[in-house]
Amino acid sequence: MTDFSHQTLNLDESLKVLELAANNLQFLNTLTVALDREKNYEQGIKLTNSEEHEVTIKAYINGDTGLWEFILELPHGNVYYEAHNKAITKLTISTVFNENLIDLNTLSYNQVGIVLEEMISSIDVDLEDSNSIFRLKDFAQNDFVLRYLNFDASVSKENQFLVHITKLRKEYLSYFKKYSFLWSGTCFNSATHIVDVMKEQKLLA
Amino acid sequence: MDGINNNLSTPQYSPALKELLERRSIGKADDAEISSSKDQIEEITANIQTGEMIQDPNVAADVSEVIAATMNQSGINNINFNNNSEFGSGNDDGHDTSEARKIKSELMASA
Repeated sequence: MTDFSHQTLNLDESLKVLELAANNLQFLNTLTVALDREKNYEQGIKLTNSEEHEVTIKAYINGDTGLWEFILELPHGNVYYEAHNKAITKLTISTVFNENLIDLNTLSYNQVGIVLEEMISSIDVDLEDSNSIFRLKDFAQNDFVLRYLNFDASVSKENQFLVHITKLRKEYLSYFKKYSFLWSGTCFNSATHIVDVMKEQKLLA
Repeated sequence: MDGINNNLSTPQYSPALKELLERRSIGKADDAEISSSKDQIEEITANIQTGEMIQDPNVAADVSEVIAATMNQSGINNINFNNNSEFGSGNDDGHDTSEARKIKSELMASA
């Protein structure tokens, strides 16, 4: 069978593929399953049973790049993971401390400035670069959001955040390996994107 | 304790902070572009942007202690979690994609 995975069709050709696909129940069935998974990622799941201290992980596919973004929502802040390549070896991790926890009016002038600086921080990570991983561990230990997390009690503290990222990466790669054929070679970059275009084109109700 | 807000609701970021995050996510903002409706904070932000903010290590240590105390008092210190087995599962349930793969190849050839 010819491998079309690296071919990129232009928009007209890509739309032609969707037009043909709209009449194929097997393709639509798989597309529906993939769409359901993408919506499940967006909805996210709770990682704790505690209603008081809820932790939720969510994932989105960037509509422009087709690359994934994860968001870890915590009581004391959020962690954003933005992938820069399909293998998710390069990413930017940003953390934002929950500003509602600190009453800035009770702090000194200098303290407010430092809190504002520290409340948002980010780091560029290359998981194939040992120096970058070393900096990531240091970041995780000192960051005001990450330092209060225990991701996995069975793993040493300094590696917990790295293990957590590895799990997210594995989840993404598993999905991508199974379903990216649906849009590979076309102008589209996710099941959600395909379905949106098919609806625009009146190919789906 | 000074500097601690007892309102422990889920994170609700200000519109300015949300905008900052959105802009930074598309590479159009950086950490110095923090804005706020409070005049004092705006002034401090301006100082940070122009590099006029003097970083006193003692003040930095105080802030770190304030945040540590905030976390201790809130009871959300050391959150443990290890369950992401259902993340993204949807209704996949071992769905077989082999037929759809074959069809997709045929569609690409037809287009």
